[in-house]
Amino acid sequence: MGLGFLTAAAAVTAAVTATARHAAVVSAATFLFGVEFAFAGACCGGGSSVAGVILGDEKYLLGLDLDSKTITTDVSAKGVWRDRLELEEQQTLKLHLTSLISDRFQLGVSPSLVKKHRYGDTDTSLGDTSLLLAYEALPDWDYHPIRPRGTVYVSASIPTGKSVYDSQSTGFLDAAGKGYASLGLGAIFNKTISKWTAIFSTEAHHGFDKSPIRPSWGYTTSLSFSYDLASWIKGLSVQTGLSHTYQNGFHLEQSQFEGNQSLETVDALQVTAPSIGLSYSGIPFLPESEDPLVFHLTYSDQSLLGMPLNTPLGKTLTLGIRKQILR
Amino acid sequence: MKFPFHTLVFLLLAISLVSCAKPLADSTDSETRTEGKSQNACKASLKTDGVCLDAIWETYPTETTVGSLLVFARSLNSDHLVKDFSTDLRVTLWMPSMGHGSSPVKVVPLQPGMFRIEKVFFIMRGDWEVRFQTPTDRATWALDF
Ligand SMILES: [Cu+2]
Repeated sequence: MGLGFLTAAAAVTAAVTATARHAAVVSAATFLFGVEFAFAGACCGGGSSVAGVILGDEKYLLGLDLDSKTITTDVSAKGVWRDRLELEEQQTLKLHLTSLISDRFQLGVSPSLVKKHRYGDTDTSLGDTSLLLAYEALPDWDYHPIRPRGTVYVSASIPTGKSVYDSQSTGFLDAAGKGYASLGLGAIFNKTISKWTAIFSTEAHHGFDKSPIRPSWGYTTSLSFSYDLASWIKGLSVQTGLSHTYQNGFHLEQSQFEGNQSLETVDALQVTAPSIGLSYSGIPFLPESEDPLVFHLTYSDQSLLGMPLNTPLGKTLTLGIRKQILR
Repeated sequence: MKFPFHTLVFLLLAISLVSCAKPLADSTDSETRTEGKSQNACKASLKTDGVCLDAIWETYPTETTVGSLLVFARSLNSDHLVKDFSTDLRVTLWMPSMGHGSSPVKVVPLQPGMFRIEKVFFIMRGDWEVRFQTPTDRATWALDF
């Protein structure tokens, strides 16, 4: 299949290209989410499923994100910051596979692989896997001038990753999961007006007991804005976003003396992360191609805003690619 | 090809978002924890056993190296070593706020009532506990790392 074919196909379907651009901008903006939360805590990841939800006019979403996070600081439950002299590096490779299963329902899966590097040692292990069932509750088929598109979803986090309680390694290099399953309920509203795209998302989740963890609830809320720079460079847009994660305190079963078990209380965690990003939609040197690739680069920093509590803080650089297949 | 004005505004907005989160100073909560206690204060007291555990660092751990701790079992109401103190002393490192431990330590009995805790390693900075457990009692020493 030559370049000529792709160019011709794109030229013939000018209308589709306009839709594609819309989808690309929306899709690009979602990159800001789902990035920060992979390792909200040393032990327990929070998580938003937004990165795997189709918010544009795609039929399938195929995405791959590579996060590179450097942990620089530990914040205590009382809010005391302590800088680390020995930095910890974490890389997460996350795959997103989502498909429409009807006009308004979509089903997705996002497995992940985590590589941790510390003390001159490296370990790569499977992270938790999230499953997603989303419903476009508030469609925007007529591109209404103001009313946003609204999507609600149920997400499940499957503990495919080892938790700190199963870890065999110093520094928990092999622990890439929460150690328990959780169920989340979320809503996403997105709207593109002129060159601006705004996305608001919120998700609450609750975990299921799995010894020794008796998990609790938590939530993640994010807001992002994207600005289309197509008038400057075709396919280019910039984004900025803010996300906030809260994980309520939970309990741990501890066996103290023979047979005796007590419940220990673990403190709540919260972290806020602003981010900026750049995305490019299209196939390089083939600006008119249909079903383009979207590339994005995002930087987020958990040490800049808000009142982090009981969490390590890191800076994350994410490089991602997405293949869009339109309806 | 000109850079759109909107973009500039947008970037400024993004930068202004990135103002500063206010960290508490590193040293603010060292109050009554590791230092500044009277010489007679216990690091951890085993009330049922009637034993006070005193601890001094032989080697202080760093973020990359293990430390070792000398532990003395002294009577709660005198300054004498408890010579018949259990040799079955179990020690774990625990981060209570996050609910996780660290790599296991090694307890070496030196003489009756004296122990060396080897391989003390904290995997992150913050508020830690050294948890002592005998067959009949348990006690906790809270410290900053
Ligand atoms: Cu911790």
